Amino acid sequence: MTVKQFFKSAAFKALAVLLSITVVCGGVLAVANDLFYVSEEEVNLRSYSKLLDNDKVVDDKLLTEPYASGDGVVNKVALTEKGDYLVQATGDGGYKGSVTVWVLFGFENGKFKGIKKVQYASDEGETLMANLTSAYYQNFANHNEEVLAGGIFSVDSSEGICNVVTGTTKSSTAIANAVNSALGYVRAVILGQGDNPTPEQPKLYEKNVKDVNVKISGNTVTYTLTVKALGDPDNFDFKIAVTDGKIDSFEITKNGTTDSYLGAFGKVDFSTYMVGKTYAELSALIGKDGTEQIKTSYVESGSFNTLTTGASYSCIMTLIAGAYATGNYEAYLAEGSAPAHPVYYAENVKSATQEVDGNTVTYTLTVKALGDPDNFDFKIAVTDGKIDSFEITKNGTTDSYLDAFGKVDFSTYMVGKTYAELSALIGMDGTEKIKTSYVESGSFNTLTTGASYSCIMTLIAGAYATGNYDLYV
Amino acid sequence: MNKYAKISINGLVWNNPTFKLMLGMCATLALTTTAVNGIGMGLTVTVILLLSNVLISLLRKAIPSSVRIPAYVVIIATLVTIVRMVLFKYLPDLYDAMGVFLPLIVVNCIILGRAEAFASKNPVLDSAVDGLATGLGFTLALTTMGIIRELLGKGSLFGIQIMNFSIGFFSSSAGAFFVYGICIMLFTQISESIQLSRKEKQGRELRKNLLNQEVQA
Repeated sequence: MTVKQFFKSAAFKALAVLLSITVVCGGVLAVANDLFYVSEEEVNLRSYSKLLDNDKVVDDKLLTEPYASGDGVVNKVALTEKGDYLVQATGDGGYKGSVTVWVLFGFENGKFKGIKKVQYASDEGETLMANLTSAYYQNFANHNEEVLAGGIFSVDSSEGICNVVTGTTKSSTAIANAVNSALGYVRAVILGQGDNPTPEQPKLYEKNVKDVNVKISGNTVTYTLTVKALGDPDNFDFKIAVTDGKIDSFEITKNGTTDSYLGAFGKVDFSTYMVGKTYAELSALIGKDGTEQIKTSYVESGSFNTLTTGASYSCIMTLIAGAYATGNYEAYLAEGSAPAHPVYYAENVKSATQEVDGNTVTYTLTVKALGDPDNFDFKIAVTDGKIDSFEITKNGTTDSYLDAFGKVDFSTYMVGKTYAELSALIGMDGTEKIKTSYVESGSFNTLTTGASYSCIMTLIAGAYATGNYDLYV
Repeated sequence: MNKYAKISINGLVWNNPTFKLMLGMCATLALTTTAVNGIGMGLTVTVILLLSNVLISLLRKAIPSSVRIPAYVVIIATLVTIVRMVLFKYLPDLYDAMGVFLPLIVVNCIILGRAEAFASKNPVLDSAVDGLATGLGFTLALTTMGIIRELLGKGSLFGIQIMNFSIGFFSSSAGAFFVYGICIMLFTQISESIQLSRKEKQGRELRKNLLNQEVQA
């Protein structure tokens, strides 16, 4: 066949037509893609509008990088105008992958009130999501008493607040894990309670342990955790208290030993044996996580001579529990006492956004009304802990006090002020009550304007900006 | 009965894709847990079927027979992708509800079947009517099954709770097969009775005409 014959052949015509159709379709799709493009921001706004009744998001950049918590990860955190927090979290353990949900947490005057709403966002490979009705999602908000008492969700009533749809257990597990992650974030970061904090690297024995619940009281860390099955035994559950790096009390709440080894395992009274043990002692027995492999047989390791029970897997799992509790003690304790976000004057500030540029943080914030005046809006730049520029963008002073308030040029007065100076004037948040009257406190002698509430609100804005500076920079 | 009415009745009833031809069963079984899902899927398929029939009919003389199937698939896949984009932009709830079954419309036998059996051999208007009627027939079937399954499986209708009683079985895959089987049985029974009565009526008229002719003779 010559070239000319080829171009005249039916085969060429067929190829040319098919190619033309493909090119035209490709062009149409390119145009359609541009026309119907939906940005990530728009997707988020849809979720916000579905979740929030008569409320709106004022800051959705509270989280700069994903926050791992339990069997899930928190992807996004937003603050609403009413002071509620909207958290997007992804939970593992689904049918084929993970499920992502939005959780709206209610706050009133800065106090945590529990879960308001849970809404599905997306999933990876789940096939039965249609079985999860609105009643299932609503059920998360029906257990706030238990949530406020530190409870977490599970598909098993013996492991937490039970919320499951029969036949869709794995997807329910992933959603429960996502909600628990969101709860973990709220407790650890927003409330700063130290409940379920996630320590930074390293988290020792993480692969062997699941469903960790932590409570911190003083220098005692109490763990409720499950050690995953090794070999024949089933999972083990434990409750362990650690003080000053040593085990205070040790309780096996669920013994997963196979029946035929129960007698052998019972030879050691672990609740006594483990008390006083440190991470160094326990890791010497089972292998230091991160540097050595966990020893899975005392016969191989030869380390269990003092503890031979004949139920080696059960024994190792029990030791892992102790090693986890002691090894992560410092990390949990440090995280538990970390500052909440934001720290100072959160109750007085209605909404705030921050822009960080080098060591300058520029705040745009609204201070809630105190007394007669309306809300005040401000724009404040802080560099090295001192106010650089200070602008009242909305003056909420009642008309009759405008002249009195105008006596002080705050845009000049506030420049150079530090948190120490401002908090000395209005009272340090967290340790003292905010002073609401200069007459009572006597602190405003240098600033008497005759419009005390407006004056205090203005000072609060400055104190918020300087007090929280270190958090944002 | 004119040509278009005949095409419409065929698509809606006599060649109903779900209850008669049993095409597109995957989406039928998976997406009929609620009536709204059934309507949503049905109307989406209707739009794609209408557009694909029109386009394929327009191009039927230009597309060589040897590459017609890949050409149809490219056209249908493009339409499905555009409809996906439109749904995600303007009807995100429906988009979420249909999940993985939305892109799977590309391989839905009804669309490729009508393209091959009808649109590639008939003029544009006929093909458009066929696409619309077949799509609506599919929508009616899915909605019927959705109503039955939602009512019995969840105690609700179009999302509104109307009774506290429900049987979880009807929301499951097994329930879908069961309802589908019952629907096919009823549809076949009713359509055959109608056809039988039509034939009897035609027979009576034929005998009457013959008798009249004999009397006149």
